[in-house]
Amino acid sequence: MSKLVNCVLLIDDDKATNFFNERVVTKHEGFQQVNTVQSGMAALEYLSAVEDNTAAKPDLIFLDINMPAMNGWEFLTEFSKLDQEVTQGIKVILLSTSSNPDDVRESAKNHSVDDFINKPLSLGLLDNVLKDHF
Amino acid sequence: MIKRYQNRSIFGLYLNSILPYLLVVLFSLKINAQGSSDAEVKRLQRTIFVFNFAQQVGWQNLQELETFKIGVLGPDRTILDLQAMSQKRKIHGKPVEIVRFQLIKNVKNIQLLYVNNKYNYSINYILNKISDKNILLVSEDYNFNSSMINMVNVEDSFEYEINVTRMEKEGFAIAPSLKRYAVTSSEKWKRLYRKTERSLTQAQQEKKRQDSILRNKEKQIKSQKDKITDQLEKIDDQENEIYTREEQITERNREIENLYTQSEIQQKKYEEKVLIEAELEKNIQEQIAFIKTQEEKIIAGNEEITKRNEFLKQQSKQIKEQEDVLKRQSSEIDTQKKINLLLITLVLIILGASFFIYRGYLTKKRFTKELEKKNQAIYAQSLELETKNKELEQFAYIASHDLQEPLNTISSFIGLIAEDYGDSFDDVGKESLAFIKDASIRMKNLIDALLEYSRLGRSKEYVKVNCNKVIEELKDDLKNVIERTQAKINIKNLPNVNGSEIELRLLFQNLISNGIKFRDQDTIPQIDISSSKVNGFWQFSVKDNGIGIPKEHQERIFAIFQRLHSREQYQGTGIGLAHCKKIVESHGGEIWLESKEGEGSTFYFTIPL
Repeated sequence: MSKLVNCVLLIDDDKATNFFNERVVTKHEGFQQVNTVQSGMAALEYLSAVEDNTAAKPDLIFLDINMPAMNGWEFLTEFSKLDQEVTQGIKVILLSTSSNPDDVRESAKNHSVDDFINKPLSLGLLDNVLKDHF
Repeated sequence: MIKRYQNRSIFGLYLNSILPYLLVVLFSLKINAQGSSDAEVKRLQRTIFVFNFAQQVGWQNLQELETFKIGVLGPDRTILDLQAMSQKRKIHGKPVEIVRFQLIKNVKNIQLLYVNNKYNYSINYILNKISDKNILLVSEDYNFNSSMINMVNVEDSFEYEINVTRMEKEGFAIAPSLKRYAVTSSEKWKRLYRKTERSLTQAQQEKKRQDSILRNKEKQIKSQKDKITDQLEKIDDQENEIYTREEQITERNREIENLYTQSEIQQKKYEEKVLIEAELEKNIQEQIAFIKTQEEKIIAGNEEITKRNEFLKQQSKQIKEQEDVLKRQSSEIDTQKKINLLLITLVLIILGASFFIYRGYLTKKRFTKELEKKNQAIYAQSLELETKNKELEQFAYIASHDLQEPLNTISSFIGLIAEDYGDSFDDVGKESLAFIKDASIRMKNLIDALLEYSRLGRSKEYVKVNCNKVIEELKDDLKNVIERTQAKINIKNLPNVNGSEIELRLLFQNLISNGIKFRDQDTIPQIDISSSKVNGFWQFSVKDNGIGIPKEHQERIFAIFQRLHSREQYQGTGIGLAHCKKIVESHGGEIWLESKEGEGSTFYFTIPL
């Protein structure tokens, strides 16, 4: 299996979750690079700072919904306001503990969201992501 | 002899004085008698003319009539003549009845109306009034062609003219004979008048002639009287001569004889005159008798009229009495009507009122029913909610309680692994263990918070809580934090409130802890707590000088486990304000805040007095 995804950005407020997810993505052979941020604000900073066509530009974002200060939905609102050149080609997959039906419905409506996956992340789930989206 | 002469002379004197007077009376009586009989004839003629007119005119409704009625307008004596004639003659085979009218407007139910111009009735008004009533108008002495039949006295008879157009218009049939003898134009009338004038002139001339004759006769009488006087004087002379001249007696006797013969002739003349006088007297008597009979008739007529008037009076009296009775009855009926009307109105008002009352009652009943239904629904809902709430609380309590057991197992075994095998783990393994330990501690905290949350509001045993005292005790509990942060807590004379002391303590604790916790590291926390009475509530305010809360997050901070910051930034489970909200609301109050980012927050809550 060739390396299809250059960079993955993990957004979660929980350190332990980030640690775990980073380990899972690193273990998977389809992903070359993993970066983690602990809030939506940090993610926005990251995205506006990263240069185009560099290795740090994410091809995929795993986004937690339930976060303090700026939750996943609020991040997506800000994300869609970013320059199209920045956001182009970035897949956004929601990664949430809650399978709250409101969130599932909202994710289907939101144009920025490409998929919805329940925690915890696993190698099998990453296989499916690659199959479905890359 | 002498005596005899004397007697004679006395008679002669008497005769001399009375004779002229007698002659005058006689003459005048004769003229009067002549005039009177002429008038009578004329009246009879008029009556006959009127009856003949009627006979020669055809009425449409003649068959239906029982009597033929003739009306006379005004105080005309002609009515008497007509009445006299009606005793003898019928018109169109029907008995005739004569009626008098004083006013034109009363004229009705007659077939023929007679009117004389001398009573000054307007012919046009009459025609107008009797139009279409099938009444034939016979007038006298009116203008040519102004009436239907107009008759005029000419000399010793009557002439008449007829207005054929008008009569035909009124529907009368006219016999040819009537037309034939009628005067047909005003010219003829004029001629007739001239004729009359001529005869009048003749009559006047005749009268003049008669007058002159009369005057001549008077002259003759006077001359005769003079002669008589002369002769008497002569007789005196002769008597004187008898006295003086006895010898001439024989001669004078002859003269006396002559005189005697003369007086005999005169006596004879006197006797004739007496005879004429008697005849005249008889004539007068007849006239008087006629007048008397007429008067008697009039009296009889008057009596009849009086009787009728009395009868009418009686009738009108009876009518008046009946009218009175009717009036009384109608007034009684009126009163009854008024009473009935009042009763009907009263009944209607009562019916209306009861209808409205009934409708109001129905509406009220319906509303009450609806309200009852709604109340029942609300009650059922509240019961349901209460049950659900209880179930939820029970669930949360049981769940958190039951979750604690496996969690305890996990944390105890992690402790065991870390102690026994921790040293043989590499860095990732050690970090993973640390994460597991942290997570299990966090979970324990969350479960504890949840448990507490579910317990809140259960206790309804409210007591008087001295808030000043509660906060003083809290200060003691939070002594470490206060000392570490050098926090200043100011209390402005807080009241005693009715409530659960434990819950109120937790409420104040959460708010004060938050005020101290959420601050910039280099800020010394200052918390002011005060209260005031607002609308039947104690309104408390807890003001801090912390980091503040952006407007958009002010709603969600009261939700359970809601955090605005990462745990690394500010510790805690995120249940504190949820606790506060539940406590305030279970006490019947409200909680809200005013805050600006970077300028501190003020939390307000109310507790009922």
